Amino acid sequence: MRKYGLVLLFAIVANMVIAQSASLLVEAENFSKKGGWVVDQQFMDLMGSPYLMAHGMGVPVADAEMSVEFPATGKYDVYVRTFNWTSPWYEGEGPGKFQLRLNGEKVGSVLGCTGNEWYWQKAGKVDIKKKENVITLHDLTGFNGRVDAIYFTRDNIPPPNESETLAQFRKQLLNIPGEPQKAGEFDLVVVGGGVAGTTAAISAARLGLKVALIQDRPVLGGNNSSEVRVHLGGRIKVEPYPALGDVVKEIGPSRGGNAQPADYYEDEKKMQMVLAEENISLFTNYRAFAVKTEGSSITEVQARHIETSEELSFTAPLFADCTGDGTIGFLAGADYAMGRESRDEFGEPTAPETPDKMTMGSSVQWYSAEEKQPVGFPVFQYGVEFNDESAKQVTMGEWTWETGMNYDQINEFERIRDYGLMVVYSNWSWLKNFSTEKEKYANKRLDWVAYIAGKRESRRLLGDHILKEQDLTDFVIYPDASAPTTWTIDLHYPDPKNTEHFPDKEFLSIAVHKPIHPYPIPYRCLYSRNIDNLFMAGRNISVTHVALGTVRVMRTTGIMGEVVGMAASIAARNNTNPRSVYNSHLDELKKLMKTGVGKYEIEDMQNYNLGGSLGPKVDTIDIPPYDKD
Amino acid sequence: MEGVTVTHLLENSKDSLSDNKVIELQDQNGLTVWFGRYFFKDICTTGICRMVRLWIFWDGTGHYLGIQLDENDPLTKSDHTPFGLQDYTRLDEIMADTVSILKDLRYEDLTVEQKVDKEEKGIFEVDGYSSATAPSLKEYVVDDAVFTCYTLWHTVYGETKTYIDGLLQDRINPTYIARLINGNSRQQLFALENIRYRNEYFPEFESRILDFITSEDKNIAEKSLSLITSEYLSDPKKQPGFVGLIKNARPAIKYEIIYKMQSVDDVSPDAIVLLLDLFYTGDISQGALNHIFRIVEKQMATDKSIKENKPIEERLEKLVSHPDPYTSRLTKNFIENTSWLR
Repeated sequence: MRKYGLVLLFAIVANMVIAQSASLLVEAENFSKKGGWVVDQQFMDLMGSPYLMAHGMGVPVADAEMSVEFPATGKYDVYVRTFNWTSPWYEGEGPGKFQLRLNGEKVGSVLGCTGNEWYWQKAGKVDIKKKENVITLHDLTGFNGRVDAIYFTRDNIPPPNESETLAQFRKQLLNIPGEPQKAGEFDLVVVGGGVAGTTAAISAARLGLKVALIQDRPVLGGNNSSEVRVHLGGRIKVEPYPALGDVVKEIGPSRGGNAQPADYYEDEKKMQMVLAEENISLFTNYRAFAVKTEGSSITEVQARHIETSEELSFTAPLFADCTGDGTIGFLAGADYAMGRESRDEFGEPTAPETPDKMTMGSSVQWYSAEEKQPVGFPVFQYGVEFNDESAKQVTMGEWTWETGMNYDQINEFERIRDYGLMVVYSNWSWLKNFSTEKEKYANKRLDWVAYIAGKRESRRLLGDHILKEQDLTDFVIYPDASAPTTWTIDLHYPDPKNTEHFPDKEFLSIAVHKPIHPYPIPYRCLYSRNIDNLFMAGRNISVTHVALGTVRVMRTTGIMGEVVGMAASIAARNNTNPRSVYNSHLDELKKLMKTGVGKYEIEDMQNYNLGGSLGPKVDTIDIPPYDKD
Repeated sequence: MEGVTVTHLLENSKDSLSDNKVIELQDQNGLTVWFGRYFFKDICTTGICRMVRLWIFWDGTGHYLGIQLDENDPLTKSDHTPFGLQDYTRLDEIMADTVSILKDLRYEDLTVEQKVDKEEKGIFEVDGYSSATAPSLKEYVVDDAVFTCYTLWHTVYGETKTYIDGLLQDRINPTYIARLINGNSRQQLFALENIRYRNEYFPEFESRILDFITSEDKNIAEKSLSLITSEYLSDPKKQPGFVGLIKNARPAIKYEIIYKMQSVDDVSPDAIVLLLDLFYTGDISQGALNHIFRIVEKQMATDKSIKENKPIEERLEKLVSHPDPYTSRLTKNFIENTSWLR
């Protein structure tokens, strides 16, 4: 559905204003033809909206285009909400240049290369001679110029830029109803369609729950989708519950490898596996932005479509936060942690002496392709300088291209992702244009660079148990032992060699591994300690920073999802909450974990990237009984 | 083992201390059972050297086979204690590792010098320094025997192996390959490896190679499959036979066969029909159905007429109403995306 706003601002204030204030707001993500521009929703909680981005990797992308109807003919001032994304590192004009065109004619100045934060850039003036017009976004560089919205006004007053006022302004101009439409009532609402959310939804649906699965991208799989391209890691089918992982096996790609061609990640398999479940209602391209609570329970999640701005509300007795960022928990006031705990807090040997905000980073992976003829690449120098010594002489970059460890992975995420893009382009520019070995790269073309960053860590929602290092290393088995984690405690730090060349601007990481025996995570890590009806699965479960090092890989998060789906089915059947599953229905959960929720006789192709951890600690894991006293 | 011993002289050996004869044992078919050479090696630790005497053996394909020592002359560690059983097992693993980290290291990279207290100074330390194995190497060598591991690894993969490889390569011809291909699994792998570098031998051994693809031996199956090129599969007549191997292949090989077919530019309708039939008979699981559709979709891009193919259409119609919801759903999605059915 096409959607753009048309209002007569201040109509009730004075007639003299009406004539001057007819305005038109066009959301960029709403363009009917997007050409080569991509929809980026990753930062809409920060800057207010999804936006269109010209992600051409140095080659201008095809035009985005839309027909719009103006409220009246006449002269309009035009504002475009954009900014220079390289401004944190470079004071001059940025590379993200584009033009606005109206009926094929350029409108005013080149846009996107100024401003050090999102703002309404004056694009120029237009004389509208007919109501129906075609507006076009014309990229000039292929270097990630971005457009949030375009505003045509008779007043020459730009829209507000402050987030709350701007949000109201958008709602008003786009005629978005005050209250979202009801999407329906469900037994379980799963927010986040990464591997954990997908398996949680499938697991619950197969056990009879009516499930809504909300995902803010057009594809499922999150970091394992073709948009991010990280392969699954860890092991499935591990004691004490070898049936856990059956769903991971069904949806998981049959081939491994980071930063491989898109086909490797088998998006269609995940999608059709979900759509084959009658009990799942799938809402792709919807991003949750608000919750309603009653007491300490969530009653409703609200989500906005990343292209049409349509808003929906989802009600259910149970919710699962599989967003990675713990967004639902955060919005509901759930307890959470972020950054590294001090050694004293949990007595973890690997923790730093004093707490800090450091997290693992986010990866922008990339690769190049060999062509038969030499291929050029524009000089790209925007504040991160390379030379033969500091440049990485590589033709692809996978997980080690990791940024933002010392930045806030939520509130500074756009900067973090942008720095990832910045260093890929800058390094490549050096190799192609200046390196003493540039001949080696002459026929190489930058073929793929992720614009959806693969995030490892941000908020960790706190549950009734917080998994810590000693649980893993001392092999402390709890009565609610559940999803086995098998990866090493794998924590990332800036690569010291990279620090030598780029102090405080590192973009390469190292991994420090501490092997563990396969360890079953207590179920109590999978629900919130203070939001009564909230489950968690994925990297936002209840663990310390150190323990996150092992649980964060995606076969393990997928298994967590399966457990959450099972627990949700028990909670629903007994009309109770996640904690009561632990307190009163643990045997039922154990039974389900023994049986599993696999549906298809698919061979196990999950033999790649298993991780080099220790073998089983014991032949049979003795799970102690739950003593309520 | 019975056989014939043949002695080869390794001329101009750089290792003047060791015996320059390479002994070969051949079986009754003329295939090599092993090669062996007797070595005298100086192994030095922080300026102190010790002579080691031992046989090193390679198999009939030039791979490391083992080490034989005099019972009274065991290998020792830097503190002169003899190797234990576990150490020999570990040493064997290290020697068998053709891409060991030791390959690219220099002698001086093996240790880090550590300052030690005078009281703790042992017999091998000089001037308050001892040489400890570089921490990054510890997991790749036998404890306290980094120099022994290093010296022996470079002996195993040194001039003698190069000489043996040369001997073997000189023998490669169709007759010798035929003998190898009827030999043990190591010899079969060696034969396949050599066919890989001599395309002209492929037709003569084609049927054996195709048989090997369904082998229970993972390495042989994978190696054989690697010999099947896009060029070979570009012949539509070859495709159904190749696809048909799925029926008896190991699960991972089934997928590899499908991946190979994905790389073919012109897949015949017969091969597509067979793939769909193999799915229907359960020889291909739901996990690979999307890969089959990718093959069809790619073919559609170059051959629009494939949409008119009745046998394929019939099978797609059957899959749409398949009892398992994923199969049905995936097929519907494929049909919608490709506008297959009118």
